[in-house]
Amino acid sequence: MRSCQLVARRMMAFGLFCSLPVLSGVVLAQVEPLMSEEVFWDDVPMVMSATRMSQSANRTPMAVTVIDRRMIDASGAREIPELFRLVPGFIVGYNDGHTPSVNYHMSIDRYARKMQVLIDGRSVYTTAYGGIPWVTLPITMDDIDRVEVVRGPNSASYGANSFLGVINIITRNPVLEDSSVKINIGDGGVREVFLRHVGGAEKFDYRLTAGVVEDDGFADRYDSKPTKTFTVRADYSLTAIDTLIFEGGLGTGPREVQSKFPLFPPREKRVLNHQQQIKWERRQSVDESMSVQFYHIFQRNSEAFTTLNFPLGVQVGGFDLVLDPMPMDFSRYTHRYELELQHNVGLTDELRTAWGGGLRADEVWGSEYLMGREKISNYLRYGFMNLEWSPTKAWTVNAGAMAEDYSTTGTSVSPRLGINYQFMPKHGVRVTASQAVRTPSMFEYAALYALNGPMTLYSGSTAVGAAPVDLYAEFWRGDQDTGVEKIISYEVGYHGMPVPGMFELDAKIYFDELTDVIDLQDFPQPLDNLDNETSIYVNNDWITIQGVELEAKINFANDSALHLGYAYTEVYDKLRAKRILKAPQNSFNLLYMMSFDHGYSAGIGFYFIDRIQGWESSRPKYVRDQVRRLDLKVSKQMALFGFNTELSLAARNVLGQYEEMEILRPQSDYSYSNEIGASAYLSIKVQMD
Amino acid sequence: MLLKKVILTLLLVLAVGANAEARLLLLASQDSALYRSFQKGFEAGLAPAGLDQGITFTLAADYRPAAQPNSGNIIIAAGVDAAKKVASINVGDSQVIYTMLPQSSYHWLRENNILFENHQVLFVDQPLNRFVDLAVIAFSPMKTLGYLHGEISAKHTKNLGQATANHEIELKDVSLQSGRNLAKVLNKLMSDSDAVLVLPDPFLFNRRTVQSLLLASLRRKTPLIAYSEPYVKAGALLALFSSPEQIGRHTAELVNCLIEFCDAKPQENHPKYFSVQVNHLIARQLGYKLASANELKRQLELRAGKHAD
Repeated sequence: MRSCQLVARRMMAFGLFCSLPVLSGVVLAQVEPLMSEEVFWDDVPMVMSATRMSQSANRTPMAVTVIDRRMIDASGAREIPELFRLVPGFIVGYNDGHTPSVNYHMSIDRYARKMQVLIDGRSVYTTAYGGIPWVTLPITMDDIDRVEVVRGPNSASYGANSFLGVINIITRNPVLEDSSVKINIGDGGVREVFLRHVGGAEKFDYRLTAGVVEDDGFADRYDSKPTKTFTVRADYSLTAIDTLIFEGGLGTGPREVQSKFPLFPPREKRVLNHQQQIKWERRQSVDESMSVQFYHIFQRNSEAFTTLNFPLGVQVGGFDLVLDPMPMDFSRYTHRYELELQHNVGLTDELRTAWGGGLRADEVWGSEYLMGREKISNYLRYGFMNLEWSPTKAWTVNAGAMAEDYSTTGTSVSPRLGINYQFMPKHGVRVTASQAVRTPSMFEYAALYALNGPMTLYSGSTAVGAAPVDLYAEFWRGDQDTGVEKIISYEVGYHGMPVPGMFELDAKIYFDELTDVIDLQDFPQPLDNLDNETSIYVNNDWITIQGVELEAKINFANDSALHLGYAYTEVYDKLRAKRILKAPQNSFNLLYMMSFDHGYSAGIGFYFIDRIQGWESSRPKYVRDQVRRLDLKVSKQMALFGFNTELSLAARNVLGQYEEMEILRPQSDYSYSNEIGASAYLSIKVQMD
Repeated sequence: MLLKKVILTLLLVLAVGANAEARLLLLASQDSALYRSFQKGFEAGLAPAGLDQGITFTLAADYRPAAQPNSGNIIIAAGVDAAKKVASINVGDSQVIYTMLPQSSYHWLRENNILFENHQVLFVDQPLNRFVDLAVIAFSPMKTLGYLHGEISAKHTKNLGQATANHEIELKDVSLQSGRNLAKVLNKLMSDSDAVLVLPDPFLFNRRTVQSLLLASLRRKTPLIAYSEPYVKAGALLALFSSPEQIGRHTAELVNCLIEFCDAKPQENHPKYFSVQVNHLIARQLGYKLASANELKRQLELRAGKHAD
């Protein structure tokens, strides 16, 4: 009998039975242990990233978009950032060919500082400038199992910088892979080779991936990015319940750089990114697991060069004042070390928790032109707890909080409360309120971006002598008192399957209020002899964002599938009492995935992005017009010389040209632009036995 | 709601000769891709005599007593919800075919007197001896079959024991309940078995337990035989299952039989049509050289023929 009650309670927890009808005057008072026929065909969608607990999509407190392998393959995307065009409300842009940026709800510049990105639970957010070094991340498209995107603040689970959303990239387990060779060749100098080897013994499985990636960047830019990547993942089964997972990776290569500022010549910099992570997982029981992970991330940008002669447009005693060539160094590096413990446990049949804590150390060094050759350390202690309580099959309460203590910005607590109610089977609503913080990047905290060099007086093109003083021009500064940005977010959502197994819909309406937003403000600087001003990072801005987002997945009987996303977004600058175009008012994405006989498959991706203000910092602000982008991909699986082979052709942006987010005024002096035209690439992937 | 209406309209348009006098009433639990596929198989399998009877397709939830059939009709209840709906209808002397029903749900409905007395049923579950036959064909010589079950799937243990005994195979059945050490149980089971069978049990197999199960199978080099195609995609070596279309076709044959007064069929039926799926990547990882899925299926059908003989 107890067993029966247990079954019944769990059935309630899983929400697998329907309400009972009245049968010939007899009301069935007992709970029916009925298993739905769908179980025989279902691939139950579960996500991990919202609360650090495995949950079905209708029990998460936030909207979560899952980009699975089929979507990745059908999208025709060649680089990871491109995938996020499939997420409602996301804005993907490029500063140049090697600096993509992925933002949610608002896009200000190339540094997407308001998003957290995790690879298998490891934060790859760079603390020096903020944002993600997408191109040198030691991960390839084929390493990815799926990507979970939490659309909304999630500091309660993942801490500061999980501000507007969280991207969690989950890699494939090596035991489920095959060794392979993949080659991409296409327009724009696309030449890519990926080698993957998987192997193992009884308790040991590993994957090694090496990649050489190269393209010419944008047609009119000096921005190629030859990159070499190497990744390793090894899983070792220590005991029956303990697993040790090691992940390591390296990404490096030269980068062509072309600045807007004519003082700086076209040049080359080198980037290096390497990461190591070790994780111990213990699965004690069905309801209990524990993990401890430690990782180190090193990111270095080496960029030393000599400036050009630069007329300042100022005359002294009838002579032109020209800044002399001088050595310049924009180099910086960061080390991040983090140790984290997490414990998931079912306390009762109705109550589960994921709790833990950790320590993190960030060390950032910036050259004298960025941070005055100073090394800044930022130490963090944190603890978190998320609870999922399902008192009945219809109700789920998610409550959680993260407490963090930073050595630079002090203590903050990020709570979240979400209530999900299933008003009928497979249809539920959620109401969630959450609070999150973003810590300043170390550049925002301690920048000293200044030029200091000798000047020469010129008569026409003839030097007539040294200027009486050196130039000191201070552009940006952080006075080590920049605090955290704060957000309070409210979301009302619906998640349901109006046609189970065929049509899944998520809708949300939200209101976000961002306060103490970090921005540059001009202050007098008497030492600056160019304009006597400097811009200092301060917590000054006040922004609200509100909108609606819809996401639909439709599976057709012929094995084709459609993914749709729509976002309506309004961003208000509350201080200046005006609406700003930091996000497209309307954006839409569509991905149609098809499978045919004889190993053929195809994908059609269409993206619409409304008018949006570009990233160009010059005034007046330049607004990019509406963009329509169409991507097509056709693939054929076949056996070639006994190997399982996939041949693909992807045609991208076939509708023609548009400008990526770094937009330059037509009337400006800059002769280049980020115009992206139609292109195609051919891909062949051979899987080895 | 609009989409739902469009789909229902489509279902009605597709219905052959739908009219008020229809003698075949098909109640579907859902208007989903799954049931469209079922309907496709059903229509394809229905004999001309069945088509002549006229069919009414309707969603169980939308079925109104006003449309209830006259005596002598055939009612096909597809899925759990439809089975429950039929219980609220005065069916007169109509014959009822329950289909797309999990075996465990059927037994519960029957024990609680929710099913109409004069009925036939077609389960979604494969017969247990078919699973055992598949294991024997794929992994011969086989001495031990592991069976990991939860509280629902535990009900199959006795019959599975009989099926394995017929092949002189020892059944190692292990119950996995909340709080038990998942990894230890899995590793012990994998070590002790030549292959492990899993049957549906939603309370046991969520993404986390499935992942542990698949990893334990790979690490211990013990093949996993599963009941659904998604398992094979996720990393099980073999799956034995019937598609909704195959079940629809078999259901139509039961209807044909009723209309044409063929020899009496058993009350309880397992799917006649089925598919086998093989994950050859996993086969390589585990060191097995398996025949193709079609060949395994052919051998299973041959064995089924012998059983019938």
